[in-house]
Amino acid sequence: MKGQLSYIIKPITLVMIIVLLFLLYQSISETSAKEKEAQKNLNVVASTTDVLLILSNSYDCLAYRTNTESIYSNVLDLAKLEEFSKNYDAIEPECARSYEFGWRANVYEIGKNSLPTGANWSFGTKEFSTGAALKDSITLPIPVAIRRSEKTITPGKMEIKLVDGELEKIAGYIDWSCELGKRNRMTTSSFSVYIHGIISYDAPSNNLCLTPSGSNKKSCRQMVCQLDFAGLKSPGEHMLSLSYSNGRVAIA
Amino acid sequence: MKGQIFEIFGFLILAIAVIGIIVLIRYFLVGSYSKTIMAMAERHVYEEVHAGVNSIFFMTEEKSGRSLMELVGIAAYTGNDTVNFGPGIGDINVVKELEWRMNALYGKGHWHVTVPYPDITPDVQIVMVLDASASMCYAVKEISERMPALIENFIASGKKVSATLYILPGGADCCNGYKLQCSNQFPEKSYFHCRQIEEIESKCITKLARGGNQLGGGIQTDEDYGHGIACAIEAGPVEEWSPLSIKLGIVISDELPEGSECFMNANLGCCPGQDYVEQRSSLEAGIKSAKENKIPIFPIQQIDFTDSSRAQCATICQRCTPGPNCPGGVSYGDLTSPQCQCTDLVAQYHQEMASSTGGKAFTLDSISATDIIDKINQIITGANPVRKPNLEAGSPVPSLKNTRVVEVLIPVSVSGIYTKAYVTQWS
Repeated sequence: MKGQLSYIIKPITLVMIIVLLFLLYQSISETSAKEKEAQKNLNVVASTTDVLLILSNSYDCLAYRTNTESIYSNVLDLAKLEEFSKNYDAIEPECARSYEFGWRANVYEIGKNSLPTGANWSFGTKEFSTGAALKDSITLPIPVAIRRSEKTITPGKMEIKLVDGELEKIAGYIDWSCELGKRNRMTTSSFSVYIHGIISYDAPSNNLCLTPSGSNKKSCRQMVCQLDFAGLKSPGEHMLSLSYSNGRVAIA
Repeated sequence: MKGQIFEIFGFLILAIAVIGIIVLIRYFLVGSYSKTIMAMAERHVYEEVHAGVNSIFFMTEEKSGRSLMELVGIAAYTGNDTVNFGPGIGDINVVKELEWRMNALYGKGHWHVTVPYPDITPDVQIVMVLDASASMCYAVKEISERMPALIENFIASGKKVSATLYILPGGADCCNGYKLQCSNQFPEKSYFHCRQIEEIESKCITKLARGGNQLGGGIQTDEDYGHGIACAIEAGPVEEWSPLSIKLGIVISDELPEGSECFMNANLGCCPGQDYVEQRSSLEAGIKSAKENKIPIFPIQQIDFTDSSRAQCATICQRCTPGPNCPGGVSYGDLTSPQCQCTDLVAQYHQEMASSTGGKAFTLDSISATDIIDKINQIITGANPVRKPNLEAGSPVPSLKNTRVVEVLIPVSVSGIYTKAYVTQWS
């Protein structure tokens, strides 16, 4: 009887141990996935805050600077806003460009009734990754003052939409290689990228476009350098080699 | 049997250990990332609050073109949430200016601002209007000789006072060697000036113009201190009105505004029961301007009696061109009518002017006007407005919410010292 009981209990114990170890493995995997997800969220939130602060506090961006070189934090110069709206309608300004994410900022003036007055300025990239190629996106505001003249400084808000996606990653890497090439710091590089769709390049408009799998709608980003690039015709992992020469980036 | 029990017991220990590990992994790893995410989100919120506070104090108020930092600095100097920029711009309520901007950026009920006001004695600016008829001959001498010294005493004691005396048109030539006019009668000082009111009349003439008046707009007579003080308030002192100062108006006369004559007829003095249309109109012009600009008026009534019982009316000596009507080059004017006859009515007018504007009416004790400086001294000494201890705006800070506090250094105007604005925000 004792022996029979032992024959039953031992297999059950073994099965239970396997189940427990499986649960342990699953828990560790899940935790690891959550870690990665959290890490991404951290990067997106931190980058959004950083871009907002650079835009509103840096003289190279929108912060107003007096003739005596004093810089007014969070006071945006109207002339610079006009300039950014005009010159950076489809691309992020160099002063606050992120080579990992894409973003577009919208600055609007607020009236006494706490509603927008209608005066607004926007700049940055216009289109972002969509569908499976879109990893994360966030929109955050920051209060600002808009300096119209010495005696007219009005309240406003600057909102930024920051996107983490495959188009932004690949375009960011190419732009970064372009900038390094321009500075003669590195002319060749390579990287691997996974895409959920196909990548095409439109030379006349200098736009890099991503068409997500299962969709006909393209999202395009303006590039810094002209490219020699045939595009990526199939979804999946791709290894890209980049070389910079005379203001152009060749991608193979 | 024992062995089987030990086997089951061993399994239970293993199961508890594995479950414990799972719980610990979830608690520490996921928990720490959640906390980091919260910290990052909180960082953004703090930067948002900080950016808003920074930008708000640089924003400008529409009418004055001054930044909120300047306005709060002025309010801290004067100890008053309402800053008075004088005629033209008028009052600016600093709390209201903060409120709509903070509401727009953070939402109503999500913020509170406190700015402690330092203990400062603000400057005093005075505009004085002097009746220029001959009965003021004693007053002009007193003011000329003693007013600069009076102000110097205040300045020496730490109270910065400045005054501009406006003399109404006229210019009687007094036997005491003075004329009822500014030129060569008053020493020009950085803190004391004398100007003929005609010099500033162009700045206020349209405001004083009245339809149907046969004399047209502007200052009517050498005793028109109602329109005179209105004009002085509109034009301000020589230094111009400062938003940082306590502003006072003083009028000195022994008659009704525009003169005590009944219906402006020199032969009819102080007609009882009659309506003084012109005089009242002048009085009301002065009161209106003072009230609009929140400047209290302190009328000083010069009396025309020669003794303290006020039984005997005085005469006043003035120079004139020698001739049959001016033997010896001097003439003596009888102050019985209208001056002495109208003393009580003048007191009523002065009382009305003072009480309507927040000032106080004074009466001199003798015709020699020796105590006129004492009265002005009392007026300046009493000019100590009640100061608020601090500026408070927004909703009360909730005790059970997670709040963020940002401090901003605020330069207090003129004083060379700083105070701080404490801005609290919560979600």
